[in-house]
Amino acid sequence: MLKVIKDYGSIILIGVCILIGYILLTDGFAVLSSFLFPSIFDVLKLIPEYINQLFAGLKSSLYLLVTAYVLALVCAIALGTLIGLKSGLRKNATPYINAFSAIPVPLLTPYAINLFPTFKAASIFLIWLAAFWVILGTTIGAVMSIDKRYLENAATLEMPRLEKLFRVILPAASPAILVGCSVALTLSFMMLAVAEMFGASSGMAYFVQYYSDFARFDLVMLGFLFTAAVLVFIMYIFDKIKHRILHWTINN
Amino acid sequence: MLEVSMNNLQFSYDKELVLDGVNYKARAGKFVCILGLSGCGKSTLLRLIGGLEKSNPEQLLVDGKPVYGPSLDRAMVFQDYGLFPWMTAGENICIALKQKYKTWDKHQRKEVALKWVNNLGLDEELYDKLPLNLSGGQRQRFATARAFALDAPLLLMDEPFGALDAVTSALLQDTVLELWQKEKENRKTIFFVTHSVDEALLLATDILVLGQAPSKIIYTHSFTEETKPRRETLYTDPAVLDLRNRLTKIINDEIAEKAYRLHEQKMNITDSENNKSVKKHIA
Repeated sequence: MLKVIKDYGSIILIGVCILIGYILLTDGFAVLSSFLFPSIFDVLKLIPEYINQLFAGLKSSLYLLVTAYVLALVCAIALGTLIGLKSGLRKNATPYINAFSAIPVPLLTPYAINLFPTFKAASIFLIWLAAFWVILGTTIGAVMSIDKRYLENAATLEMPRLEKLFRVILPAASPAILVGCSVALTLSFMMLAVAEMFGASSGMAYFVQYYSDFARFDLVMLGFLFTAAVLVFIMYIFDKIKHRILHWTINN
Repeated sequence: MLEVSMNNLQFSYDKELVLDGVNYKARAGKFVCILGLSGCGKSTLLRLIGGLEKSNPEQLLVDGKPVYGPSLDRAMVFQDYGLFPWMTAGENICIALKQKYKTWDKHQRKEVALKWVNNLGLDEELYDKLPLNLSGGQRQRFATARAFALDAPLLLMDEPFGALDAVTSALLQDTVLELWQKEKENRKTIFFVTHSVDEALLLATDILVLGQAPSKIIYTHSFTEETKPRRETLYTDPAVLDLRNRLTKIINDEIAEKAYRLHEQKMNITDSENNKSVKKHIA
């Protein structure tokens, strides 16, 4: 317990300050409209009644998010490594990568709905695409900028290609790749919200959208808080994994 | 224990000639130290032997065969980046052993790695540490341990102790020399690039001095077992002192010539700029 307070005391304190600020602006001095910004105490009272619905939404959202993100991770790292290592391929592919990655993914929603047989497949595609471009770009850059001396060191050991890839190239590129993965995760969350706004019957963003249509801003607020808590938890897990992978760097 | 032959060896980086006709034959088991100014091509020569740069197959032969790329028969120790920072120091040795001895299991690799950790005077506790948590001297010891553990007949060392303090550097020089001498008739052939005349005098059986780029060998000296300097006699033996003075003078003359050449180039550029400005003024 003491360790938790020591490690996360400042973070908890900032959270408490934000909460107190919100209470003062709503219940305390009524600066904010109570219709759009309901009392936090009223929102908390709703938890027992809606907890099952929130968790059902979480399950549905996580299914879309995890499937799309993992697929994007695998595809983008594999392709990015290949393009990063082959200068000829990089030269030819870069203009197309730049062109396609510049298209805002939400604009592709009609195409996704039209091309994919189910809402889930279309949603996964959109989230996948949002994460894919970011991870692809950072992986290409990371692999390209690996210090030549690491590769030469591997060459003098006559390391087989596959071993060189997993023991030298990917670890050397991992700091930059993980930065891209982190950005891609946040983007995936944002894209999840977009994806759940059409055709979904459950999900975290769907919950917010659904009750917003009925002007139930107390439930909208509950949805926001729940989504934020999930996002914080997922980012925490991601950071733990990142620190584990990058344990050899100075900042870890 | 490999013989290295350079026959009119030439090499260019982007059309700029770096080595221009290097002729030298190192017999197997020799400890060859290469001296020269910065940028004269010492490291390039080592990289060519190591197969990290492509040479003309007829101009460079190792054990009578052309060099087509890196090989486990030619272990390298770099000044830095010798170890992969994401692996522990021990893993760095083991991964090299894995490439050389493919049938060995994990335990065999660790056993041999630990033997070389001890041979290099390192504490076994450091085996599981990351390079980040080791001192510069410890890192270079691990890199040297890896090279010796590979038991490559040709060892290429590119200023391996250049970034270390004098005491650590001296200790490592003694260790390398001892390990090399211990192998007697199976001694490795070592090519060692250094800036330090004293280091070359202490370690080498053969000293090469490279001239300015595009360089060739401008001076060679070979020691016999009897005349080879030892640390105790390095600063007292008149013959060694005389050789040190000679080597230092050769290098200083090269520095003076380089400075003169640079000055001339600068003057030529200034003259040509002045001429341009005069012409412009007249026009």
